[in-house]
Amino acid sequence: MTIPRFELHVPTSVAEASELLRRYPGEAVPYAGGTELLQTMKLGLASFEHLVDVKRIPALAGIAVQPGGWLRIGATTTHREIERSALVGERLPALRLLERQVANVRVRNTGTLGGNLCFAEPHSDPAAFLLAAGARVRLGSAEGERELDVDAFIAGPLFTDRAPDELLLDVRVPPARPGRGHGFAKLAFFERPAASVACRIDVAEGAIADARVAVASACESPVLLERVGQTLVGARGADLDDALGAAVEAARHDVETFDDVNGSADYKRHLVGLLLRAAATSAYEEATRA
Amino acid sequence: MNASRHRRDETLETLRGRDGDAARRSPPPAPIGLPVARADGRAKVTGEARYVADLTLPGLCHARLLRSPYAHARVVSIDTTAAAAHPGVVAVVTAADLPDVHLVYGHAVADHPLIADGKVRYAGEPVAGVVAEDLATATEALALIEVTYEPLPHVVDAAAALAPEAPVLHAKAGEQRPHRGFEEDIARAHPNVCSRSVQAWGDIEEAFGRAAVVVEGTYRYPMAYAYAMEPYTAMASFEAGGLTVWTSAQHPYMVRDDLARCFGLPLSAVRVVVPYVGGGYGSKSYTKIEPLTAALALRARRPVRLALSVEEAILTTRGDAATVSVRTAFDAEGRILGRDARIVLNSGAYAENSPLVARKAANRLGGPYRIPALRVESLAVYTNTAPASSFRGFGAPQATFAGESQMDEAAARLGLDALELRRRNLLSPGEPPWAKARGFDADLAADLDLAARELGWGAAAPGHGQAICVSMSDAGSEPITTAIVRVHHDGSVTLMCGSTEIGQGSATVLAQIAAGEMGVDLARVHFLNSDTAAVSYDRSTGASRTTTLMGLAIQAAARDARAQLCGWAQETLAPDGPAVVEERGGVRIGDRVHDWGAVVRAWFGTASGEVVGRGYLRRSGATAEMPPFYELGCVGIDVSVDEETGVIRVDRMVTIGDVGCAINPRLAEAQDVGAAIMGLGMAMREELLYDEAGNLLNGNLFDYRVPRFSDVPEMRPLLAERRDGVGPYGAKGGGEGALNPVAAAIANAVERAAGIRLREAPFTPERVWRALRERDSR
Repeated sequence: MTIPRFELHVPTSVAEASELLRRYPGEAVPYAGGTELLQTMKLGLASFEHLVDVKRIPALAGIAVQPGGWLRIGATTTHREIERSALVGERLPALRLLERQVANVRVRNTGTLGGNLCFAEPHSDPAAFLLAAGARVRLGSAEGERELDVDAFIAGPLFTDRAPDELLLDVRVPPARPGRGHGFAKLAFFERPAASVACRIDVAEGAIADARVAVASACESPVLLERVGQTLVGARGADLDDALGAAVEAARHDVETFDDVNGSADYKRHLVGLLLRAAATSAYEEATRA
Repeated sequence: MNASRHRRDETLETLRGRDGDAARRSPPPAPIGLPVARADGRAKVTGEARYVADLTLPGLCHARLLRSPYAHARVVSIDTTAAAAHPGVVAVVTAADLPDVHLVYGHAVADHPLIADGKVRYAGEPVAGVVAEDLATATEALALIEVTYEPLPHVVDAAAALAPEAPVLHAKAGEQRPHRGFEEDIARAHPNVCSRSVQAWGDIEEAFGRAAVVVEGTYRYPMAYAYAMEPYTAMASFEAGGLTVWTSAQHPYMVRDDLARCFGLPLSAVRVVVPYVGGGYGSKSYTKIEPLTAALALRARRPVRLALSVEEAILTTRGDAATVSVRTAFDAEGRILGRDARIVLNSGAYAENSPLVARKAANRLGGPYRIPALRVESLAVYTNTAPASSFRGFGAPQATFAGESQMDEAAARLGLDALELRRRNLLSPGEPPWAKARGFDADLAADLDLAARELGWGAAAPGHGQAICVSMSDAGSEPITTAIVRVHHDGSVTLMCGSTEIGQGSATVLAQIAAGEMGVDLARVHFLNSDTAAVSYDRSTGASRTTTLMGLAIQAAARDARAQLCGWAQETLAPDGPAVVEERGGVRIGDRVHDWGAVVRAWFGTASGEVVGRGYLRRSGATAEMPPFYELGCVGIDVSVDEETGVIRVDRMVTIGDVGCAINPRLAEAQDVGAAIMGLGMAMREELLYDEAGNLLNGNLFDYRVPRFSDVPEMRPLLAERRDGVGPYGAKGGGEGALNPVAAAIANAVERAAGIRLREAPFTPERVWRALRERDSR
């Protein structure tokens, strides 16, 4: 495989990067880890004459807890950095577990969270997690900044709400707190996962007060299954198992799966149910842990 | 190096030489039989090893290929004007530019144009080549070539290709070539039948007429890719009236012969050089991109390198997919009465080596059993898919999956232990499997016992299932091999032979044989191989033949060198007696010992000169009978099945390497471990998938999954050394056998663990899940 020729730009500010993207309409693209982009270019599926390397922009880097307890992860943070972050490990152990299973160590060392989200790959486990977690993304350009839900940002398979001259600045995850738990489960038989399910559960006074369920890989695009989360609300201790059964049925009904090398749509619906049970159980356990 | 790390079957090492050959029983001279480190290990792990892609030449150009987007189409026109005018492009080459080249090659059936000639027969077939100053320029120019295609109806499934109205790939049959290696005429019962082989004896109707139990089924083995880390790479240069090609090829002499024919050159004017090779597994046997690379160099008038990507390599050669329909008849005591089978191979767009794979699949379907009546018809069928060819195991994985599945199915029906059923049918040592074949050179009953002991047969943990399966391959190909052993005036040795080191360890093992035979330190043996202008002929590196057959040729060459040296010693050092006595590493005359270097120096009269020992091997003497040897497989497996997801977990694999004599036990074990893991890949995950339009859906390493280390179970490789092979010190080939029984062993073990019978590999989670659901609905 040969990568087509391109010019590499290395801006150091969001404004400078945005200006470059605007200068070469249709010919320029932001470039971070390149694990998806360069592969796509090598395969001849995309070609760009200008790559705008965003890794030297300080505003896009770092992991930090913000006032109010929101966890901010800069767009150019690599999967490996998230996997090894003590902050992430403390506050979102399910995200660390997820990141530890992303692709392979070479991809994790290079690939970034921002790149992963902007590529909107259907098999994005981080997207599923962030959807369930209710995370928000910030976008910036020479014009200014805006913030939106991950759900609104991922517009479809390989398609986001990012304007061509915008950069994804960071992702912000709502605060971890007592009574809240996150869970994640996936099955991978080949390089890309067959199905992944993420879940966030809030427990109040012994009952599930809120539940969010997201699926990736099995469907065309990472998706939040809102009705499925609702079937869990109100469940407590003894009837949790029944509620889980109902949620599994709802998930299998609501998820729009498709046939591919991982298996048929039917089989993937079956897997989504299994994974939902596992992810919701671990989220509930975390939420109810003293 | 710790020899005790290597677990050999000491208790059974009873040295059962079939004909009581005393020489075969004597302990081999060191370093033969020792687990010495790989000769090429350090160079490979440090990056010092140079592969074809690392080589360069003054004025070297780089090539890229334009490939067909259609599975089957007429090429109406190709306009290369814009590409040729692109700055940096040296030449653009299509079939029309090669009137002086014999375009069609093929060692079995000559049907393969080196570049599409008016028609494309699979998506991905090369249509044009661009030679440029650099790869990026060549890639850019590809987009400037305009090809007009007229699409034709296509067929990707072998059964569909045999339908009366199926699209025909080859309007006329390809020319049969002398190297075809199989005896049949190409039967054109249907124009898409590339070859038809039959293996038959006994009265099949009578056998089934008196059967107590008949098992019947159809078994599917996947279309697989023999992933080698190094994709096909070649570099060609015409100079001084000749052609030199550096290539990652297993059989340099076969490639030389095809190149000579394509370019109308005498064999002596074609030089094929094989440097380090990054894995072969059969996929680099015979000719691949060498004629095309040379044609590009011819038109460019410059040296050219063509280095394929993995994606392109998958489009170049794959393994034959097989549908094996078979029924086996047993009497009430479990003796096999007869086996009746039809093998249909999906062999892709060109014959490559599939006719021989079809032949061998037919030979190997009987397994290592005594079968009074057998009838196997085996077809290699053309389809509009990437061409299939040799693949480690060579028809045996496909055949053994069917045959060994049926042994366990029959055992269940007969109420017999699966190993006991096998014991009742195994060939005895010395017993030929079919008329005129060499007598069986192994004791598989003893191997079964070994595997059973190591696996803990009959003591599977709750929820687990176990199985042990065996295979037999008529191996070794043709015993046509030469070797040269040169002893220099300092006593060091150069070993020259045409065997290719493809990672299997021949550079180490063959040097060990030469060192042992000449009685010199291994460090003083230098190995030179796979350069058709520098070393002498070897037919091929395949069929697990190198240690056995090249080993014999090296023994002969060493004997020839020693005989000459003894004569020289007598003539020069003791013309009037006493008689020279040969000793390890030299000669003794009276009470004085002279090493080989001293003999050379004495004969030439100064510190110079050398002796050249020659070894020839052909169908004669010990290697008169065919096959030269049988390669055995014996694999035990322990599995469990996740009932919810259908994921099979392989917990343990036991392999018995029945290699007669392990010249290097460490390498012999590594070959078995590698082969078993490769078998695991195809049993569990590997399968190339085509869509209806004839496009390969997963022709890349993201979607086509070869095993990772995390997929590898606990491996227990054992060696059985009974000195019962035809090779040096009773050696016989290994390295493929442990692959062959894996799929059947997993299927049989899964049957015991979960009560489902899998007849279609790979055993993907979904296939297993569906079988579990079907079981539950019964």
